[in-house]
Amino acid sequence: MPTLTTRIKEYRQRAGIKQEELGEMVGVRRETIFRLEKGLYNPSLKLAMDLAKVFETTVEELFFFEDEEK
Amino acid sequence: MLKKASYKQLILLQFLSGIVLICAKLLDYIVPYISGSPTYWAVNIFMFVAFFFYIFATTLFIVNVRSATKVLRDELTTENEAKAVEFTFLVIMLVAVVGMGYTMFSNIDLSLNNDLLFCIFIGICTLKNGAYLVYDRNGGSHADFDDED
Repeated sequence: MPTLTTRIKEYRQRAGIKQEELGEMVGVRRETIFRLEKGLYNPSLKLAMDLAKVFETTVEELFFFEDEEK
Repeated sequence: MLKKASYKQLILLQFLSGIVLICAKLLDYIVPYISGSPTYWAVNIFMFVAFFFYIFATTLFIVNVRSATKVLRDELTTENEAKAVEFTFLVIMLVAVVGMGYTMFSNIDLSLNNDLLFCIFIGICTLKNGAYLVYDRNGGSHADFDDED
């Protein structure tokens, strides 16, 4: 079964934002951002869209299935 | 302290205070049967300290949740709290069913005195807090420090 993967860390580091700052921007705890980046948690649609909005990209660009990446 | 404490730390404080209070209550119940009155004053003091520690932890939790300036609770908190409550409910149901089954098939009349009831109520809250800490553990100590990279 394909695994949902994320590029949040890549985008965040490119933007020079810390995990806590990103958490504040989208209304979640720092621990949640940490887990998202590690792939330990699947976000709600709203959170995914809020994250995409912060990085000025699409949800599909931020989250993808590993098989699709290959 | 109010700005720095995380939700997990508040739950941990409540969990520990619950454990201390249950231990104090059990000691309060057992000590008269195993020793004389000289040690009883120490148990009384321990009981008061544990009680006020529990009230302090609960009050701190309520105040912090209501007046936090940073994000304290989010969708992941809600999810983990729901899982913790579900687990606690299952444990309570299991204990209740086993207890009822035991009284049904034996001649023993299971009656709960005030001390035991007190321990059970505090125990349920403490179990829920403990379950939450387990479910939230993958946030881990790494998440207490910003950007390990």
